[in-house]
Amino acid sequence: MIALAQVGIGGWLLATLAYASGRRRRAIGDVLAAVGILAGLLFLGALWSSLGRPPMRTLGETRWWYAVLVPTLGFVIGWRFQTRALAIPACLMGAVFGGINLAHPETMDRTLMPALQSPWFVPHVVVYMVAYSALGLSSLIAAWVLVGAWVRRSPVTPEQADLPHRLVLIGFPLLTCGLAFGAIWAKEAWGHYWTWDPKETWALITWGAYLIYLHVRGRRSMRPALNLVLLVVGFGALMGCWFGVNYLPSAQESVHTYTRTE
Amino acid sequence: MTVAPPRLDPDSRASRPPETGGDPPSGFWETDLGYAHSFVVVATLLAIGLGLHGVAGPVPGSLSTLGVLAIAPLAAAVYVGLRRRSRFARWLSGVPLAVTATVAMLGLALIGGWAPSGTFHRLGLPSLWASWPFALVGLAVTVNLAATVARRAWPLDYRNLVFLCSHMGLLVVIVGGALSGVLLDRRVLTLREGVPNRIAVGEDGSQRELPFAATLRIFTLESFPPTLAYVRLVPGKDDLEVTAGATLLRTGSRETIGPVRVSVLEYLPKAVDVDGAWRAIPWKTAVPAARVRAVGSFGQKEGWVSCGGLESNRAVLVLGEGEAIVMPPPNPKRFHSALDIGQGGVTRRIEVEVNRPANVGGLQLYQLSYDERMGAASEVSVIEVVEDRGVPVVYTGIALLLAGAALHLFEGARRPKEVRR
Repeated sequence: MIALAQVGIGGWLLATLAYASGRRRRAIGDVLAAVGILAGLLFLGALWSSLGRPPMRTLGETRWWYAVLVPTLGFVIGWRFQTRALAIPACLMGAVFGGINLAHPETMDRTLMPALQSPWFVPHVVVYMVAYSALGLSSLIAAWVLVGAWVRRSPVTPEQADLPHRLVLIGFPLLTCGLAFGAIWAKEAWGHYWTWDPKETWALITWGAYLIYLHVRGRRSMRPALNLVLLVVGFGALMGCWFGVNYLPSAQESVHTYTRTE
Repeated sequence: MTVAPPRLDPDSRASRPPETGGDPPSGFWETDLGYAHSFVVVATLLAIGLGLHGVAGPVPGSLSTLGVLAIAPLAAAVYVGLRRRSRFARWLSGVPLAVTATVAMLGLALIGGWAPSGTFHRLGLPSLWASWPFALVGLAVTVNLAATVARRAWPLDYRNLVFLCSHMGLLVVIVGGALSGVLLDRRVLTLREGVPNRIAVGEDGSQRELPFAATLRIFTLESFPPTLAYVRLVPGKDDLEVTAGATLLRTGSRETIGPVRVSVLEYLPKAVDVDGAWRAIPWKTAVPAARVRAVGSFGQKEGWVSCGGLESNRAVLVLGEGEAIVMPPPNPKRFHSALDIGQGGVTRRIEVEVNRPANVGGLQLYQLSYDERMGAASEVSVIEVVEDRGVPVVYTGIALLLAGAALHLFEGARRPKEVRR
């Protein structure tokens, strides 16, 4: 099974190299990326089947979803928006996140705690992972554009800020859905929509960071570069919510850290 | 959440009424109201909040407090509805106040999401979320939402549908959540097998007689089969290095855990230790046990392992100097209570378990706890009885928010104009 993951990661790495080596190898890159995506999706399916439960319980398991969904989303949105700009960041991100999991393998067992045995579990995690993928891509492109502008000592143009913005327009509604599904699920499981658990608080901070971006983005006084900086900050909050919260002093009070297997 | 082309942009100079002549405005509050003014207002609210905290302590969670706080968004909505072109109405419903208040709220959330709750207890707060600064900043967000919804809702324009769904949804969720928090009645009903009880106890010790009597027929704690783990004492330290296995035990299962190959020769899901020999006995207090064979650099070892429990000690298979195979306690699979509910001479049977609450006459019954000391043998089940009259309001808000998100997504996923061309 792990061979499928290795094929996926290898496909995305080689696709990144093919895309980076010039226009003539784009078609090869597309084939390699598609092979990687197919292998990644098969890996997730095989993992789900072997565990007998959705492989979405631990941070490592959600990282596999992210590794597969980022290239998939990059591929689909790239086709939809007719742009090649997503190809390299999507494949690179997939390879990096998959590589982290290969380097630090987790022990996965078949148990699923009662609180996670809910019809809301899969939709909640899946919409969050798709949202994280879109927003992650958005921030990576934003950072890339900012670094490029800084190196060239040229201002960021509104056109350069357009694609990251479009990705936020896809990621943010899904983030909203994830938050809402989580609240409904919490009400079913514990009788509370919201308990200000550290993980929930960070989910709100992430959502709020992108909410602020969407509100200030259209202002005339906002330069495109500043919009992109906000996207990078938003991704920082997102990473804080996903991983960082487990290392904060407040983590000991959270029921959502999912770092332990029991 | 602004994506659709706005029908009327409160910040746009084009939407402002023409100058009426006279002296140009010079004072801070006479100029166009924007971010600087929003900053001053929100900072003042924070300062007032801190002062109120010093004088009055945390925000009282009462309906009267909520009623007083609700005056501000209601007044804002009415004012903006009547004087939509005024400078103040534009600011009240505008982006600068929205952004400033949201930033302040997220700043407080950052503190609350960072520091453990003990930090706030030392400041005399039950939590940051019950503090006056947080309540007042939340109020500023709500006022802005109410004003902006009032501004866009009339005259109704289909182009504002996405905007209205998302903003009104958020407003209704906040109002419903606050209402829910105030009206929520949450009590604990402790049930013992075969003993009817109708008295639920609140966090403050107050009692409420329920309209029904509940009797616990049986509490069930099901567990997954256990796994094994290899533990090694790290030389020179007091630490134990644990390598967890992943295979759920059954007779015949095999797994390599760290440097050891382990085969399960016999697995007993419910067993009791009888003078060192484990016997399969279907008691509620029985625990899982397995006879395993371990092969590694130490050679081959065979013996019983068990996580132990109320009536049996833990059993480990010692492999060599400072290393052993152990069985961690199994993970719970299901907490379940079968109850008899007696009301008006009629008794009916209901089931309550985590993620599957039961509704009895408008009261939600949640599986909360059990006698943890007794584990699966617990004859006590702790049920939480929740009455929440704010549910329909919150779910209406969530439905609007989700509709707004779906419309947003539909717009976001549309091909750009240049691609369509």
